[in-house]
Amino acid sequence: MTAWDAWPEVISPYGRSVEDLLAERPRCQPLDGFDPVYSDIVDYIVRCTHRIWEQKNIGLCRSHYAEDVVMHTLTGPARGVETVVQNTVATMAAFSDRVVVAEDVIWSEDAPGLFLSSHRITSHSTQLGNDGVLPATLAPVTATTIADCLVRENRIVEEWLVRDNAAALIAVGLDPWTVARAAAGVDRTGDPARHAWRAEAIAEVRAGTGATPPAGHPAVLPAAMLATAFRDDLYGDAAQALSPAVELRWPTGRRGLGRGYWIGCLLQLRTALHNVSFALDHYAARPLPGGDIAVALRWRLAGRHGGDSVWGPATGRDLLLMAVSHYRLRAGRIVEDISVFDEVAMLRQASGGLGA
Amino acid sequence: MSEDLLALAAGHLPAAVVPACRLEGFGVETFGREAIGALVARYPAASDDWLTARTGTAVAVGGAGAEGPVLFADLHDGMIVRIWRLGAAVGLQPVSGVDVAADDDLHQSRRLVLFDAPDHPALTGGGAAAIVAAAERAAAADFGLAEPPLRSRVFVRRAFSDGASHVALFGLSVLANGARRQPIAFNMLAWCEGDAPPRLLVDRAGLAAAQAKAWAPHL
Repeated sequence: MTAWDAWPEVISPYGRSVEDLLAERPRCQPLDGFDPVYSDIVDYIVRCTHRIWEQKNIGLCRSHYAEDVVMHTLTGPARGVETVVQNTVATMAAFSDRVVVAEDVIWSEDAPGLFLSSHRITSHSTQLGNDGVLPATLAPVTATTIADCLVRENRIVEEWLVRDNAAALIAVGLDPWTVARAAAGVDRTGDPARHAWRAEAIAEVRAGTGATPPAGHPAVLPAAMLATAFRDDLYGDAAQALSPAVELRWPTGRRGLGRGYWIGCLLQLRTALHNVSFALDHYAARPLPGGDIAVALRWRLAGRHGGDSVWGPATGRDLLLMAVSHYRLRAGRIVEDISVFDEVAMLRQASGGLGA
Repeated sequence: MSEDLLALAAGHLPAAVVPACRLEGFGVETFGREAIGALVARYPAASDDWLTARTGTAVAVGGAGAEGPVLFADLHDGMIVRIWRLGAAVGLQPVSGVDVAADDDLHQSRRLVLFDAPDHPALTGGGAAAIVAAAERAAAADFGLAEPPLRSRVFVRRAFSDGASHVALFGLSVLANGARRQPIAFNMLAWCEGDAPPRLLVDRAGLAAAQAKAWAPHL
């Protein structure tokens, strides 16, 4: 694995104008098999997103995704590049003016030529077209997404996508519970084998496998924080990793300051999830200007829906949560925590959806 | 940079605002250049006299009036990456979300001020002491609630020094007193000049929005 602070000339999109981000530059990092237009892995992620989403060149998905790509979301895996193309077309038809703004790209080179890019995007758009069952509302929508993309030779070979879908639904005037219950009803029809992935994922999390950042890596601090909280229920000890005035941006409009607020966010999850298991799936870090460090963690929880909670009355079902957190570290502590997960998918599971 | 914030206060969108900029102000949170431009254009502010302070990573401008407005911005390489605007209420309400039940103190011995000096490397000289003193005053300030709050906590979100001036953005976490202890979160700004008492400005727009909001710690 390449050192987290290697290639300092590959810089974050943080604080840069779109003109700066899209200015073409000579290659500054070895990228075997990548199109010549890309100067580095950050440029690849930002530029290809712009070409596909804003320039509407959706067909570029065919040269930027592997034919057998698997895109993991909390509603199940989507397989194959043509599925990616079709989903992109549908989203673009409903949200035609969607602008996909890069807030950060935190990347790692996990093996020679194999990159993992954790791309935080906030998109804004107007729902001008029909979106499946939803007629055009003309509502403005702003939603944050984090896309963890595994990239080799110009192609995304696997992707893990988390989106603040509850906030997006609320923005267009829909009740997340209504949407989740309707989807759960559909889930309970047809071949249940299509939901087998969820039981497999829960078993993976329960097995306790996962990634472990090596000593000295900036991800050690937040990874230990989450493990101390979720595995040991030592929330106060865990929160010592945070600045006393840390800023939290969590899904569905959770905005707050301080260690107590962070604990409050975790307790909302922990109240719902009994006998909880935590797995760290990936970590990455990159230097930020001024000495700060950006850390990306992708993590999952599995637990029995045993408590009346933010996700409604206890159902006794096993629930799975997949999240990506982007942290800003300063002087050895976390000063910002931006975490994203699909809370509609949690309601859908609590409503009896996504398989047994 | 000060000119850019003055332009924003006057309702114009300067080129220095990046696409991923976020604005907290007018009682709402707004993302992106276009939406920020549209919002500030709706509510231009006039002031005959503006205080300004800046460092490499932040800038603030403050109107002379009792309600400001004040604009505070994070900077990166001369670009504006985040903006807070504190001023009079305009009647806007944020999109609803999930509220979080939280304990700001984590101790029986309550702390008024949540501050860690290493978070604020641009705070120099006697800045840390001045900002903590200003935060203690902010915690005890009269926000115009029906009765004094049960408790007020001040999180020091941003702070920097510009010569003898020290400027800080506070996040207030207030628990109202009474049979219903409604949590209220809003921003304040402290402007400290030498030995003079700090100028404290409440974001009336954020306070009004927080007071009007129904508490919903669930989906």
